[in-house]
Formats: sequence, structure tokens, C-alpha cells
Amino acid sequence: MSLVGSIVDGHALLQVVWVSFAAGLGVTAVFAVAIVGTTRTVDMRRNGRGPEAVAYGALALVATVAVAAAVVLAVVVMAHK
Amino acid sequence: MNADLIVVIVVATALAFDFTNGFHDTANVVATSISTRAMAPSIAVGYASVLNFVGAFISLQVAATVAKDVVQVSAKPEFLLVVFGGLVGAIAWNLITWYFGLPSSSSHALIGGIVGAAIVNGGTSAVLWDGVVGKVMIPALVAPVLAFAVAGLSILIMYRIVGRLRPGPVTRGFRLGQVVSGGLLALAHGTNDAQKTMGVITLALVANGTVSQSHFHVPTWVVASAATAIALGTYVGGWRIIRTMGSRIHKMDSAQGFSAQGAGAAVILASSHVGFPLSTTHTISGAVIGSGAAKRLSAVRWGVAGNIVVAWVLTLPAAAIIGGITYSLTRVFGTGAAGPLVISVLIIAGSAVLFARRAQQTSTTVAAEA
Repeated sequence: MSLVGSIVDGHALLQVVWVSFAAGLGVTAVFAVAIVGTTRTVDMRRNGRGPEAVAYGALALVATVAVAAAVVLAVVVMAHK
Repeated sequence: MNADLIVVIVVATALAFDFTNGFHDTANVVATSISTRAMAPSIAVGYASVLNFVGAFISLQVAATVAKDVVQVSAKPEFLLVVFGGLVGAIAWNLITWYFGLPSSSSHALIGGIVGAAIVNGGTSAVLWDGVVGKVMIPALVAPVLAFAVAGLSILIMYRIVGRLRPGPVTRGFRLGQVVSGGLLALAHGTNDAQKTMGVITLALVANGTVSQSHFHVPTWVVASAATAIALGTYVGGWRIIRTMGSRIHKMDSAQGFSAQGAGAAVILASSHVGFPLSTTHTISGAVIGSGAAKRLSAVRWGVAGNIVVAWVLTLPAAAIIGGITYSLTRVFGTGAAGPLVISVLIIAGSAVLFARRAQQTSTTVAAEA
């Protein structure tokens, strides 16, 4: 265990694991929320439910901006090391 | 003058390897976008090629690992021949696996080739085993499994979130998302794979005394040339694979494509950030298998997955053996440029024979099917 521990950069490996899970799951889940927001906005507008349409539209916008911000952040972090 | 000529040959060989790396990996980068019809083939290939180029400029951590943590760098003339032997070992193994249709990792072949040539030159003490095991082999084992898990979990979460919606808008939404996730994957591929070539060229420059061992840096021309070679390889390779694309890729929906590309990009970018030179082929394959297995275990071609594991086990030692043999053959001609020149001619001739035989077999198969 100590030999493996001395060879493997556990901190870096752990960083890769948690960043991959956080980015991979987080971004895809938030993007799915953006799709829900966009689809529901169209459905609500068709059914004449204005306030709900606005709420889902806002949800879609926030989720889309969050995904875009995550992508930009990933590139900026990569470029600044 | 003699050493400078060897450096020129080594740099040309490294860039040729980089080109074949892009050529070899195009399918991994663009296949998902094309199979889900998120992008037209011509657009997907051009887009991936441009982002491969851009990706090569965003980080140098992997290049530093390849140049400093794999073998003991020596400012002796024969070390240039070690780098050359390693590159030839990688190219030869890539050509052999391409000829027989085996899935293999260009990255593992490169590291294996360099390690094999270094062992023949300086014994096992010439290899930095801590770096090879800790920064190459263990991350290489972890990355595909991690990509498999991330892609599998993300597709389950996404199906739960969008499960009750009409399929039309969902499919269109995820196809749009694939433009972003496919771009990130191409960026990740460019940054991790092009840096391996940068690291190898920098090794040669250190051996030649062009770059100081104590003030390690990757020259800008090395970054630009490696970026250009991998981008060109991706573009050319893309056109070649498009014809067979439909039959080689298993059916996946746009949500699976999005999750596979997102997971692959996340793992490769995170690994590149800490300097782990991964196999992008195995990582993307792990993500694709994960997104399929989470939906239905039988949807995955487990035979293909098994071949990937076999290739993983074989590539490092096989490339190491070829790298070691190449180094020994080169030394028959001394430490001058004659050895690399002769070996270069032989590898070009060998490549031409393999390409001709493959083309002949392909045309025979097409004629038989017609």
C-alpha cells in the first residue's frame, strides 16, 4: 500500500475523479434541465399558460447560461496552469 | 551537423506519428456526432480538426510528463536514437494494429516504444518507473472505467429528467448539445494527444542541447507544428472513415451521444490538467460503452470491449519490443544519422506495402460484395 501510495499521485488522481464526476454529471444534468425548460415553455405557450411559460423560459435560460459558463470555465482553468 | 540531422529526422518522425495519431483517432472524436446525426460528416470532421488544433495550445502539462517523467533524459548523442527508436516502435505498432483491424492506443504505443528503446540503451534504470506506473499506467487503467461510470450515470440522470417529454424536441435539444460536447471532446483530444508529440520532440531537443534540461520549456514552434500535424491527420483521416462509418458504430440516441462525449471530454480535460498522458481512444470507448450499458447491457458489443482490453495489455510491451529492436538496429550503424535514415526508408517502404495490400484486400472485398 505504501509503495503504491508513494508511486501514485493520489491527490492528482482524486482530483481527476471528482472533477470528472462533477463536470460530467453536472453539465449533462443541467443541460437536460435546459431542454425541459425549453420544451415546457413551448408547451405552456401553446396552452395559453403565460406565467408558467415565462417561468420555464427563465429556467431554460439559467440552465443554458450555467452550461456555457461551465464550458468557458473548463477552458480557462486548462489554459491557466 | 550529424546530431542536427538526427534531430531533423526525429522531429519529422514525431510529426508523422502525430499525423497518424489524428488520422487514427478521427473516428473516436466524430463518430458519435455523425451516428446521431447531430452534425453532417463534412462539418463534424472540419469542426473536430479545427478544435484539435486549438486544443493543442491550451496546456503543456502532458508534454512535461512525457518529457520529464518517463525516461532518464540524457544529453548524449545516442539518446536521440532512443527517441527515434521509440517513435518507430509506436508507428510500427500503429500500422500493424491498423492492418489487422485491432483497436489500439497511439499514446500507449508511444510510451511503450520510448521505454523499450531506453531499456536497450541504458538498462531498466534508464526508465523512471514511478512516473511510468504512477502517471501513465494507473491513470490509463482508471480513465476508461471512470469515463464508463460518468457516462453511465449521466445518461440515467438525463433519462430521468427528460423522460416525460415529447421525444422530438428532446432529440433536437441533445443534438444541439452534441455540437458543444463534440467540440469539447475534440478540444480535449487535441490537448492530450498533441502534447505527447510535443513532449517527445522536446526530449530530442534536450538530448541535442537545444533546450536546457534545467530550464525545461516547450518551444512555440513545437506546439504549433504538433497542433498542425494532429489537425491535418484528423481532417484527412475523417474523410477516409466516413464511408464505413454507418456499419462500424452501434446505434445510439442523441442523449447517449451527448453523455458519452461529455463524460469523455470531462475525463480527458481533467487528466490533461494534472499532466496524465491518457489513451483518448480507450477513454472515449469507455464512455461510449458506459452510455450504452446504462440503457441496456445487451446493447453493448462486449466482444469489442474485450478486444480493447486485450489491445490495452498488448500495446505497451509490443511497442516496447519494437522500440528496443529499432534502437538496436539503428546502433548497428553507429551513433550518426545513417541508422535513422536507413530505418526511415525501411518504415516508409513497409508502410507503402501495408497500405497497398490493404487497398488490394478492400477492393477485392468490395468486388466480391458487388
